[in-house]
Amino acid sequence: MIGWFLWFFLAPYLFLVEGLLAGALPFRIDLAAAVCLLAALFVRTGAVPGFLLCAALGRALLEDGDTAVHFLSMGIPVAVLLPARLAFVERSWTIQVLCAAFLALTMGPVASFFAELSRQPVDVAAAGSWSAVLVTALLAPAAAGALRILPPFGLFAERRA
Amino acid sequence: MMSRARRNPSFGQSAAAAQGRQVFPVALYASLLAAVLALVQPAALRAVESACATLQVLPLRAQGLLSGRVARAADDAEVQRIDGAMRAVDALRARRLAAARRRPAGVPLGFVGWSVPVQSRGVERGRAGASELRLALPRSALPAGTAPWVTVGDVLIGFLAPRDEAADGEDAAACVRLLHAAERGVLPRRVPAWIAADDGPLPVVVEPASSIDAHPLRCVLPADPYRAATIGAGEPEVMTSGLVDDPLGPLPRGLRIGKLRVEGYRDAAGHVVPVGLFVEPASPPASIHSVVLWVPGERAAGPAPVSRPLADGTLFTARSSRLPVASSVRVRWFVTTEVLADAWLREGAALVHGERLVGVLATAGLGYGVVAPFGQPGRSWPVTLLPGDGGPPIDRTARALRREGTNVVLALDGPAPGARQGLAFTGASIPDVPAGLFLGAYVASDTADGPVLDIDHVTPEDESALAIFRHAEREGEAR
Repeated sequence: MIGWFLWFFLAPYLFLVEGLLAGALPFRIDLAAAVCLLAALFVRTGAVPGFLLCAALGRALLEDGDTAVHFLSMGIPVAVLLPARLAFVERSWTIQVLCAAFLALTMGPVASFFAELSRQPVDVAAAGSWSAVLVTALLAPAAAGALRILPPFGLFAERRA
Repeated sequence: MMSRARRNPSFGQSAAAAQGRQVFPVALYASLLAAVLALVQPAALRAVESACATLQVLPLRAQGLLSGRVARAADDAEVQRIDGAMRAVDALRARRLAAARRRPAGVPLGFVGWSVPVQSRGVERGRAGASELRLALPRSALPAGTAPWVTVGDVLIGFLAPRDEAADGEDAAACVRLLHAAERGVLPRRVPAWIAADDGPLPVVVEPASSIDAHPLRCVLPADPYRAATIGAGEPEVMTSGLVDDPLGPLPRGLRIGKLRVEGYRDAAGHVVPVGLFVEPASPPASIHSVVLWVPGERAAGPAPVSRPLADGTLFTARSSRLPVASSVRVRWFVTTEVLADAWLREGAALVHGERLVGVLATAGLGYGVVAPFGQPGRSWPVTLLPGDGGPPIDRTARALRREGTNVVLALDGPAPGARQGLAFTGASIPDVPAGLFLGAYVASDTADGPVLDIDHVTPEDESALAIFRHAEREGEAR
């Protein structure tokens, strides 16, 4: 319960940190992709919807588009990636980089599709470039690794035999 | 493991079920389905979303109390000192007054124009937009003999809706039914007109097009069907012809209706064989800020034609703190009101600095909001352009393409304004964003995708004079 409480209130701060880093660094570290990578590969399957919902609520506070658009833009790629857990038991860095690249490629178009459907402005221009995909593919696994050792995320981790 | 599963079938089944849950997470699929429903029917889950957001911003609120800057009342002298927004708004009001007093050539001398702001719009009708405009003037305040035709500049936009004695109260707002208004069981108002073709005017009748047509108005009953069939693919003006014995009442001659749009097939020689003649109205409903009613008299005292933009609403002084975000616009403000009582803020409400629009609330709730600066990519705005050459204000709609620093790029609907430089303001009033707020100086240019406006939207450095606006007519609405 404490994990849910912390994650619910800390989710907007995660995206504020993303904004701070985007202002300070020459490239953007897509922490939404890192959160999705965690959800797809490391979070207990039963906790994934709530985990993503908290993230979508926090993201909707700070970025264009309502919660539903953000939840769908994160949830659909994660739903596609979830079965990969069975195929890639080891979850090596290579697998994580490939999954992060998939997330970087799909999250933007999914968001813009649903935003167009509901006539909401969503800014996905920066996320769509190939350089942004490459940066996310390389940095999102590192960011996800860093997040995994922080308190709220460890409480959602999948327990493996 | 296999041998264990063979000995104990239930173990094998539960392991398979767990594996199945992992591959097909039903809870995730169900929540995605719920999200799609929330997208299609946003009202259904808005209260839940708003409650969650209100809870989630509690830490930000606490942080804002410690670090936010308290707003001071933005008195006139301060606004004058900070920027030229007020002077720009004064210029717009003066130019609107002058435009309202300008009499189109065909309007009889016995009438004088009243400029009346549009208060709200009726239900949208597909691509044509709203078919009815409700004015900020009670129907009962109109003098007897007010002309039924309603104009914007020299453009005929529609007719005053007749008073419904049974349905309208004493204070019912005057309504304008636009030319494309069509109601089941009611004969539409057809307009005798002529097409200003190259080889002379072609008389037609203009009436509402059907909902599946590409344009809101169509031309029927051409006086010369042969000429109508050979009119080609030009875009001549369609204007009222002012028939003397119009059975639906007199109508001035020479009022513009819009541009002709010819739908048809192109033959091998490149000529267009028309299938339908349509009209694109010169003033789309979304861009109409105020209309001119024509009342009998020489110098009739009308209502105050153009009020100050923030006159008909409530201003909440705001405590603001800057939030870094990763989107291309780069900044959001977290704003809280000083008092919580009756401070329900709405998404889309304007954050103003004097009479300048700073941004709109992207998220809002009781006493708080997250503000996105003007220029969010993808958002459409009604804008009013005040040309630098001294011409009348131009009301248009425009879609934000991007914001880079203080420069906001908008794609403009319709042709580029004649004067390539001038001042830009918020256009026709939308909920909680009043018309006539200063945006900045604009420079218009043509691109392959159509005309664009570059607006120098300076974000105020002094964030201590920010306030949030709420329209008066929305204050009684349910939350």
